[in-house]
Amino acid sequence: MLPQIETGYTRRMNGNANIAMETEEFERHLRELLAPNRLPANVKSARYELGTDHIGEPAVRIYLEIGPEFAALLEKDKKLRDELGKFREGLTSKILELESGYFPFIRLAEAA
Amino acid sequence: MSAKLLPEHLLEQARHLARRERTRPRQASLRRALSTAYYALFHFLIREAVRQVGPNLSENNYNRAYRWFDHGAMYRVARAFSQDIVRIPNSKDVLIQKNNSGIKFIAQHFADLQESRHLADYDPGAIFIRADVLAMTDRVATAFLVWPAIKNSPEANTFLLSLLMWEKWGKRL
Repeated sequence: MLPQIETGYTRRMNGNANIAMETEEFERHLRELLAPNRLPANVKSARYELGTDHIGEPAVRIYLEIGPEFAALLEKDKKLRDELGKFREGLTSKILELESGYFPFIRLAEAA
Repeated sequence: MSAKLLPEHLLEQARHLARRERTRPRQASLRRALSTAYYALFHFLIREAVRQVGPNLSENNYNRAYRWFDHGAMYRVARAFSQDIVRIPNSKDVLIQKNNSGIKFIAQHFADLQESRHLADYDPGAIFIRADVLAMTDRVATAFLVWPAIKNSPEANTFLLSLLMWEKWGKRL
């Protein structure tokens, strides 16, 4: 039996049909989008996890980590929440535009 | 008794639960708030879909049609309508070439909320923060607000019809 030469093409054909983009390429885009200099001022850091959603479809979970002081401010100030909401919407759109097959879920989390 | 204002009342309840404790919110309150916010949007979309598809239904038949909707199918539709270009399921054919920004917002938020509700209801390890839960309830309120301006657009009609018959778009003549 001939050994199979695995290329990007065969990996994609044999892999999950819903993942259109190479994972490495997608992660490179994610790292760019979540670079510290692209985050809003009060977001201390961002991290992501690749996986699946509750129906088993590809998903990327992104955690925007904020401090307790900013979390307390957000609780009181809807305008601040809306500003951060615009960033989240923009990030969601940019990830969806990549047509990677991964659906983004963006959460706020308390920084450690 | 009619439950025509169920979505609005659920949203009000979600906000109440998110602010139930003055300081240190309980995870139970935040989880129920998230779940309730999801159901506010879920019932809102069903109400609007049934109103558009069957505006003159009797109350009994309205209630029957209301029960045709399914969480999983609605989630798949929401994922598809979160995109600029909406494609027919299991096909490369295009259903919508340039999606309406309001529909994209609502679809993205519905998918996001259903995933969050799943975590809130079934994942004991998930931790929620109040600022995030309030942001999610804000977005349900925004969805309710933007809807009247877009509900008669071709994209909204296609979205609502898809909530019921998503798989049918791929059917060959």
